[in-house]
Amino acid sequence: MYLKLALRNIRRSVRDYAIYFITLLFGVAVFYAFNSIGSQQILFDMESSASASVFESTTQLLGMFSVVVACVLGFLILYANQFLIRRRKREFGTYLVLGMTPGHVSRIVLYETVLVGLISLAVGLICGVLLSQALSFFTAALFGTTMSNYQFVFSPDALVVTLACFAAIYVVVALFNTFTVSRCKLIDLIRAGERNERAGVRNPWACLVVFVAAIAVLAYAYQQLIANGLVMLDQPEFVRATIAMLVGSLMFFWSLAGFAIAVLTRLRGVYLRKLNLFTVRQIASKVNTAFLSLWAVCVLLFFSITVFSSGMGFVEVFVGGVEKANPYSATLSAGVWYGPDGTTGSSAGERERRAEMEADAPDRLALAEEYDWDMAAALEAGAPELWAETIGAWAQVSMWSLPDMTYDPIIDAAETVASPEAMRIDDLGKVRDTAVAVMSLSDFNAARTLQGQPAVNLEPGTCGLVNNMEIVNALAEAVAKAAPTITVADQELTVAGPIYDTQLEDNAMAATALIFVVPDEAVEALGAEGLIPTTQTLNVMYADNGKTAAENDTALGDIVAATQPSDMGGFEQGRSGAGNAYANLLWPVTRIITAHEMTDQSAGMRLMITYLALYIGFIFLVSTAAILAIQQLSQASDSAPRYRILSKLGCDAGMIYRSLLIQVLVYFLVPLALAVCHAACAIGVLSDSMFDAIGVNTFTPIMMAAGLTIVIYGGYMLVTYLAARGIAKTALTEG
Amino acid sequence: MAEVYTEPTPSAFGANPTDPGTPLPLSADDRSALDGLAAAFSRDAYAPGASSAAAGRVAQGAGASAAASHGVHAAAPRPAGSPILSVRSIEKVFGSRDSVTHALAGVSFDVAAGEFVGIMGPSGSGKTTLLNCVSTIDTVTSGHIIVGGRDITGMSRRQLAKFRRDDLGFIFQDSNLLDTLTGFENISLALTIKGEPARSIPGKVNAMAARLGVDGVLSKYPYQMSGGQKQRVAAARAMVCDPKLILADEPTGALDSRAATVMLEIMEMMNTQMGATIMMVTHDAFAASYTNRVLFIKDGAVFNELRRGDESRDAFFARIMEVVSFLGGEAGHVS
Repeated sequence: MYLKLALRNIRRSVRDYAIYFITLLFGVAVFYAFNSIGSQQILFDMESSASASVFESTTQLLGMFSVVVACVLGFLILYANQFLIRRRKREFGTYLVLGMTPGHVSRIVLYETVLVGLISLAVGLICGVLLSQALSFFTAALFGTTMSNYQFVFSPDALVVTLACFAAIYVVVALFNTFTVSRCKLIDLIRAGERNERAGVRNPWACLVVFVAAIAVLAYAYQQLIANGLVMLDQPEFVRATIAMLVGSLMFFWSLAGFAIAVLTRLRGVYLRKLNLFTVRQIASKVNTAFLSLWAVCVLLFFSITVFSSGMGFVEVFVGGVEKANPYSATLSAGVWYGPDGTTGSSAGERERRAEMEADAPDRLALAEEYDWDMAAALEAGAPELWAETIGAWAQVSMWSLPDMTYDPIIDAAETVASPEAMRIDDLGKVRDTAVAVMSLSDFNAARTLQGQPAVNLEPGTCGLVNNMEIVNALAEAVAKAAPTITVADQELTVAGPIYDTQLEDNAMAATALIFVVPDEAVEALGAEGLIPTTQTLNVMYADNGKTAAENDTALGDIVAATQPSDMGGFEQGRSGAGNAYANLLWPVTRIITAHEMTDQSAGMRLMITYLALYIGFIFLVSTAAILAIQQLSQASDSAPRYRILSKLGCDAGMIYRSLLIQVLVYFLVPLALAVCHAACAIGVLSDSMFDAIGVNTFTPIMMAAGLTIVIYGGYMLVTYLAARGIAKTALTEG
Repeated sequence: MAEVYTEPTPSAFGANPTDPGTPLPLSADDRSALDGLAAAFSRDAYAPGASSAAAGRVAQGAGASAAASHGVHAAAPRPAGSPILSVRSIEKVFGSRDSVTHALAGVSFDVAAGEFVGIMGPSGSGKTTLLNCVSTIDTVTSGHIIVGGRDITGMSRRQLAKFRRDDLGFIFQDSNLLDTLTGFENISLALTIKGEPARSIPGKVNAMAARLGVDGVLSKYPYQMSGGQKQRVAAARAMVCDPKLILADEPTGALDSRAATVMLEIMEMMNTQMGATIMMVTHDAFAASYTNRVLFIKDGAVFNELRRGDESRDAFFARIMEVVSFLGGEAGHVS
């Protein structure tokens, strides 16, 4: 019998439940779809292990954020439920009067919760499975491939996670509901409808003061952000700005209604026109009682807009320059000597480097000297046929560290023409203590030629400067302007000429920083002093052999493996690690980076960040819109008596609907407007400090964020208005 | 041109024998109307403007036994034009084919400009249905209601809304002030809905509030006001538009006796000094004694009518009480 009652209740209050139900549905669908991304990899031809790991890490990351999302959704569901319960107090009171026990009433509510939960879970999962199919096409687009072998993807893992998560949420909701209902006193339930709205009247002068203060605090927050161009989350300025923004927004919502009324009552022409004064008071009373949730909504909106618009920007920061940063088919590098602490540079002292290598890895040194430090020759000797088939062209770059000179005097010279702040010296770490890196002109020109750039010349007595690392640009420009002198093997060379932005190896990003190009004789003189190169890189271009990049990558690995004796661990063995894992191999190859791998990784990064931004952005947007919708609908039904009074006073339905529309619009748009202001400031700062410098176009992601917001937020706004209108219409015809 | 006639006022209930039978100001039509019980209360029976000092003497509704009528020509001038409100044999039927309830079964009466009419009747008599029909909140099943010369029974929803805001003022039992608005705003709302120019609103509101003695609570919210203050603000809201007719539904029903007295005096003042035409539904004989005329409704029909004339309020009250106790007694017999 109670189940029947619960069923009937749901059917009767479909309108009340509609928004709640739709939101649950969205939540379940999106939750499943994003958790199922891992299963999509069967759709794609995973050519390299890198691509496969992309799916793994994306799934892991989304799974991590799913915890956050589950918390947000859980809170939302709980909140919506409490709202629905509170609205039905009178009904529960009637049940109690009719002789049901609180336990019976709780059971009805429990049945209702479980029923709505089950239905939404089932429908949501179906939507989620469909959505995940759509997402796999999106994935294909992000990878820049098309799916040749599409098949229906279903992820049991995601299903289990979704079921478990929402089951847990519903259990908590059911407990809360039961608790709320069983704790209610009959008198409160029966009198629930008679309560006069008393809350929400504030001292106008306090509001005025707080509002002005709120604007000031927000202005301070913006100023802090803009002045410091912050991107580092742990800087005190950033923390201050964040706190100021949060506090300022809270003050804004606390005082907004009081301030607006103080201003509007003085604009008689507007205030004393038709239902305006009623509309203003309606909004004001709601804003005043719900200022906390409006604040939370604003913060979440800000977060979702910012995440969505800048997430795409960050993708570009991380992977946008991937083609420019990987001009060669592959780079094989030999970290000739990694210091005891795993870092290159002056830790061992350049003059002792050879002696230490001789002590630690004499066979490697012998091999290097046998081939006269020519990596290509060593590799070709290891697998001559494969080498000839795979490698079309190559250029080796040997990097030398000056034994007697660090960057310290160079930075001192730069500081005569620019301020340390402008050059971001503080961000550069221990650069002052690092030995100056030089390379020969012929190595430089070989690298340039390999990637299709014209060769360059050096005037006698000068050296060139190579830099393409964004963060060092200002310093490099100052160095070029100050034109200091460096001493290489007793030769005095003055920095001259343009700064070259040549990428000297394949890498995740443009990472050539303050390297000096010196005449070949200078480098030869360093070798004559008994020094050995610090690092060597062999950049190769694959031959036009009709094989795919992935196949050539494999061949390259085989060449290296053939060269590295297996008793040294072999190349493959160390391949899974990065960088220092090969420290014991030293020469000829400690690390391989291929352009194909980097492109795959960047696509994976793009996938990961884009999905994360979509996921978080969507869930937050839906949650905030749902909270506002529920509040507006409850306000509409609480206001039914007011609309009846208005009707008796002679308002026609049109006037009342207009007032409702304005109420819904203002209530939805005010937090959005403030969030957009915050987001504009944050994105503007990010653009100035990061995106613009790298030439990232933020217009498209911002437009996409706007589109998403308009569709979801606008959709909720429209549904809310129509439902509120329905409530008012019922109130008017019943009255 | 108005005519007045006197009536011996034999009480229909035998409880009103001392009525002096002084001349009554009634229209000529009414003389014959009062000949018979049914006719007496279904016709245009009204007193002239109550604001005039020459308010008529009591019109004693005849009971079943009282059939006599006396035509006397009044000295008091009848207000120009037709009555403000003419209710013509309205019926209101609730229910479906199987179970039909006649909430109103052919009610007719007039209210002239400047009159203060009370509608009394026991619970379920149909008095609230009558008020709802007149106030256009509810619709009649048949019959006509003419306000200011216009038949409101055939109007569209939109026209009705316009009619309510232009021609009617409401005072409800629970004041029905909007709880989110201050006193000033509650009164202003009646004007802004009408489309009154904003610049003239504060002046009108302040003046009306001062007259009704609520100028001190204009900046307060309803929850900060006493019950009496709320009702007077509601009265100000009803009056500020200068409506043709004010409809009051148990305006003192929720007030203590002191506040009720103040409220009734205010309404009397609205009627006598400000010229408001008021129709008040009440079950309280004390409240009804402030009116010029009381219509008794029973089982959906006008059952009796009392006119105060220049009688003292106490005397009028006594006569009302007699009818009330008769109605109550009769109900007692039936049950």
